[in-house]
Amino acid sequence: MAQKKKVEKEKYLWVNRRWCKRCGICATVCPKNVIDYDSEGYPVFARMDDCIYCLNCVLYCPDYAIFENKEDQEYVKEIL
Amino acid sequence: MAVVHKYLRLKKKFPHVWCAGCTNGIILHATIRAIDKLKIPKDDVLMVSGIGCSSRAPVYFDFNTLHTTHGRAIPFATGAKLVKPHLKVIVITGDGDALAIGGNHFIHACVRNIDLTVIVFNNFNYGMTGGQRSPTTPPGKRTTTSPFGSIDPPVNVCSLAMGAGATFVARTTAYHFRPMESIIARAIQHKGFSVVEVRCNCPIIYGRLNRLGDGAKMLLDLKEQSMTVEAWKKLPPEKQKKAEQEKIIIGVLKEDTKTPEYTEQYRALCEQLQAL
Ligand SMILES: Cc1ncc(C[n+]2csc(CCOP(=O)(O)OP(=O)(O)O)c2C)c(N)n1
Ligand code: SF4
Ligand code: SF4
Ligand code: SF4
Repeated sequence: MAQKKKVEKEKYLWVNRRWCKRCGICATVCPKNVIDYDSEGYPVFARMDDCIYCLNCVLYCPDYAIFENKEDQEYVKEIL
Repeated sequence: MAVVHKYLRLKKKFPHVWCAGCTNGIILHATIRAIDKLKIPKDDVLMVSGIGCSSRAPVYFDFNTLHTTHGRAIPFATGAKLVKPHLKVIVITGDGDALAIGGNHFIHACVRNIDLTVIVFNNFNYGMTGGQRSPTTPPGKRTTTSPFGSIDPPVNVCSLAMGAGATFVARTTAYHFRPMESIIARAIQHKGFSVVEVRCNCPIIYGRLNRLGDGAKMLLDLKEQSMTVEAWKKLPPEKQKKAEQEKIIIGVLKEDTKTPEYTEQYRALCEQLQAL
């Protein structure tokens, strides 16, 4: 139980829009239908409560555009 | 960060050049995870490629890398392996690069059983130059040089490799991420010439010419088209033939650990001559 809670807390995903090519693969491989598209066609994690953190979206993104940690946001901003 | 981000040349090379929905990025992600799982230091990996969309891969990764000339990745890799046998040498190549212009090099490396890992990105066409027919284009499929459908029988990458003497031969698809990761890890560990054929997609050129849908659809189609080698072996012989034509048989097809490896034989010969 304690372990489950820990996973819940760490559940964080974000898309680096500079790299994303809007191919739709992440939404296709998500087993829980978590991902929608915004008006420009970029993926958004619309139903994070349903996310089981299988990381399929991270593994299959051909552009390495999905990151697992909030902290990476700063780092990526810095280098771009 | 995901494992892959630790191995990227993040600072200057991204976003990469591959089209939206191209599977090249997925296969490389699996390759990187295999290297990471095996805990091979970055400095002990040499990634070599020829020319093509798939062959652009080494540009993006923080290993020792060599981006060479069209079809010649294996000769460069052979030279490097002979001089620095401790390196894990991984060749990234396309179906055109490995089997058309580089076909002879591929065959002779199989015959020699030199300890290289060759990952063939088989997308059935020359993506980089606009979608010409490749040696693996299936019959009836359209490319810019077979606009009415190809009539040439295709080369079966794995059969060719096994016949020529490669000692580890496996097939997988870009859809089968986790099996692909473990197959590539086994191929890297294998002492001898290993070939991993990865069936993958060029949605932007080959996909459009043959109306196969977008990258996401083509990726899911790979799942539908596949059958594991274990399931295939259980079929009666007449069905096996049919399945071989219609399905992508995935898994490790050959693993031979007895045949001597070339680099070791070469070292032994050098030592023998130096002792004279
Ligand atoms: C000696 C030489 N001949 C031809 C070319 C043109 N050329 C560049 S890439 C390529 C084919 C690449 O096809 P493949 O290996 O299947 O890779 P893909 O782009 O499909 O990943 C060709 C013919 C070249 N660069 N050099
Ligand atoms: S981690 Fe898994 S469940 Fe969560 S969004 Fe990604 S693919 Fe969907
Ligand atoms: S798989 Fe990657 S590139 Fe494709 S839409 Fe999702 S985040 Fe963007
Ligand atoms: S042309 Fe084809 S193989 Fe090359 S990057 Fe685009 S989709 Fe991929």
